[in-house]
Amino acid sequence: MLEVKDLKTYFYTRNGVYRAVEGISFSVKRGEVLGIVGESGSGKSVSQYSLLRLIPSPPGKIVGGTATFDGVDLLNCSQAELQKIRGKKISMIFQDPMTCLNPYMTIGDQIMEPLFIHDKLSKEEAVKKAKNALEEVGIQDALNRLKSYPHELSGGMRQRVMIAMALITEPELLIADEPTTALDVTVQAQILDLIKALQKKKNTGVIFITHDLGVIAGIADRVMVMYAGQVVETAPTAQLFEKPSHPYTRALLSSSPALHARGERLKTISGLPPDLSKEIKGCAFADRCPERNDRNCGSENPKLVELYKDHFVANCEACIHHSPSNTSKA
Amino acid sequence: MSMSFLEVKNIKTHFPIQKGSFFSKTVATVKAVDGVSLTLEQGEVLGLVGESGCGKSTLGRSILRLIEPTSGEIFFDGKEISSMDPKALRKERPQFQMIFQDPYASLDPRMTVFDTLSEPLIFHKIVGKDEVENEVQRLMKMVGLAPRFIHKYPHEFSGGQRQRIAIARALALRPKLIIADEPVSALDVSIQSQILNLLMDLRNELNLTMIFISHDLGVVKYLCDRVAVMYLGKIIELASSDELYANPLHPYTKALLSAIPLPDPQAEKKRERIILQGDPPSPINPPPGCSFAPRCPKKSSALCETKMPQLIEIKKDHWVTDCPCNVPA
Repeated sequence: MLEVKDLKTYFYTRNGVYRAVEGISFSVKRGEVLGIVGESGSGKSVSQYSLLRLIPSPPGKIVGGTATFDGVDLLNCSQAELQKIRGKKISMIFQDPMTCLNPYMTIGDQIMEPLFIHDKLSKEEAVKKAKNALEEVGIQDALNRLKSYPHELSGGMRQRVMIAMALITEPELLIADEPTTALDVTVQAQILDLIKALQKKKNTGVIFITHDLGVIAGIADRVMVMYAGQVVETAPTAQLFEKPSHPYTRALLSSSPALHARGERLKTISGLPPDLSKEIKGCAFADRCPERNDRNCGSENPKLVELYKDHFVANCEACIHHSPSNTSKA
Repeated sequence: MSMSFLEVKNIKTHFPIQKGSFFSKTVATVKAVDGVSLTLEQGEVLGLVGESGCGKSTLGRSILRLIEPTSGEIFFDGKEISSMDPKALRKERPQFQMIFQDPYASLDPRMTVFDTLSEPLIFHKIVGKDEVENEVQRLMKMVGLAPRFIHKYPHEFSGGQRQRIAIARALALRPKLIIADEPVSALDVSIQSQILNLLMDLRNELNLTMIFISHDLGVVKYLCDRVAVMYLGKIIELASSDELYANPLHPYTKALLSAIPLPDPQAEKKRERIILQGDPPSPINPPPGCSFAPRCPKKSSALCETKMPQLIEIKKDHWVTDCPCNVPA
C-alpha cells in the first residue's frame, strides 16, 4: 500500500547539515502494523513527518527518495493532491495530546473539521459521526463531550480524542507517533487495546513509532529498528525478538531492566549516538558497537541484506554472523 | 521498640485551593498525600510506584520537607525532623538529598559543573577551601564524568551526563538517604541502563538508603528491595519486590502489573491484560470509601463505596488495604 524508497531528509542549520534521515526504504501493507523503534534523534519521527510533508521548511528539506501511496508519489505530488490524501486516506496521531489539540476549539469542532473539508458533510451528519467516533474510543456522554474544551479532559481522554480524530475519515493508513509515551501504564494499556481493536475492525495499515520495546512486542506485526537516520534491521516481530541480528538491536533488547534479575548488572551501550551534522563513514554504530570487528566497520557503508526470509539487516559483515543465535542461518 | 532508620508516620500533605485575590478563602483541598506511613532500614531501597497524580512525588518531597507536610511525623536516624525549626533542619539537610526527574530543568544553566558541585561543599563546609577542587574531581569520577569537563556548562552535556551531574550534586554532601524522583524517566533506554547501573554501584559502595520514585514497574522491580504502590494519596499495597511481583493482592496492583509491556512477543500474546476503565478520581473530592472502587473490576459490595479501607499486614511483611477484594486466593 505504501512504498518508501531511499527517503532522505536533511535539516540545513547554521551549524551545518543535519542528516536526520539518511536513505531509508520500507513498505506497509494493508492491515499491517509496522513498528518503528529507535532512540531519540534516530529519525523515526522525522521520516514519518516527511511522508506527509509536515517538516518545517526551511530548515528541513526532503532531499531525495519517493513514497508511493496508492499510485501517488507523496513526496513529489502537488499540494492539492496531497491535501486530498493527508487527513483523509493517511492520518496521524501525534505524541503529545497536551499540546496537539487546539485549546481554543471545542473537541467537537476539531473532530468534525476533516469531515467538513474532505467529506463535505452537513453539520448534522458530522455531529452524528463525531458522536459515534467518540463512543467508539470509549468516551462516555459523547454528545456533551463534543462541547468540551481540551483542558477539561484528562491526558488519556485527550489521547482518545486524538485517535477519534485520526480515525474519523476512515483512513487506509494511520501513522501513530509515540501515542502512549506521555501516558501512564494503565492508560497506555487502554489506548493500545483500542488501536489494535480499531485496526482489526477496519483493516487499517498502521505505522507505530515508539522507543518502548515492550509496546512494540505487543502491537506490531513487523518491526523496523532505526539508528542515526538509517534502518539497521527490519523483521517480523517474533523473529526480531528471537533472532536479533544487528548488534544494535541486540544491545537495545538486552539493556531492558525487565529482562534482568534484581541486582544483576544491566547491559549497557556505551557512548552516545553519533553527531548527525557530520557525515558518517561506514557503520554508524561502529563507535559504540560491543561486537566491533575492525575489518570494514569504519569504511564501508553497510547495505540492508535479507538474512532470513523477510528479515533484513544492515550488512555489517563483521558483526552479524558473530552471534550464536545466528548459527542456524537459513 | 527500636527505631528504624527512617520512619514516616501518618503524613498528610494537603494543598488548599483558594478563591479571591485579597480576601481569599479556601474553597477546597487537594489531598495529595493523605495519611502515609513508611519505615526504611539503613541500606534499603524502597520503590514508590503509581500513576501520575497519585502523590508519589509530593510524598517524596514532603519526607525531605521540601514541601511542608500538613501533619504527621518523620523520624530520621532517631531525630524527629518533622517539627525541627528551619535552622536546625538546615544542619541536618546534608544527610538527606534528592535527585530530580528532569536533568534539563534541575541544573542551573549558568553554573558550570564546578560551580554546581562546589556550592554545597562550601556552604556546608564539607571540605576545606583548598580541597574543594579535588573533591569536585573525586565526585565527577565517582559518577563517571571525566574531570576535564569541570568548567563546562550544562548545555554542553547530553541528558545522561546531566543526570550524572545531578547525582554527583546529591552525593556531594555524603548523604545517608537519597530520594530519587523518576531519575531515569527522561532518558533513552540505552542511557537509562547506564544510570541505573551507576545508582546500583553507588548504593553498594556508599551503603545508601534510597527511595526510588517511578512509574516504570520494570525498573522498580530491578532496583528495589521493597515496593509501595500508591493510589490517590495513599499506599494501597506494600511488600518485598519478589513478593509483590509474584503475588499481588490489590486489584489495582494486579492491573498495574498486567499493563507493563513486556519486550517479548510470545509472552505478550499469551498473557491476560486487566484493562482498567476510566481515570483515577480527582484528589479534590475523593470518594468516601475505597478510592479505587469506581474503577475496580472486582468491586464486591456497596461497602466498597462507603468504608475507607485500612492498610493491614496480611502476611508477614506484605501489607495491603483490608478490602474484601484483596483476600489471597
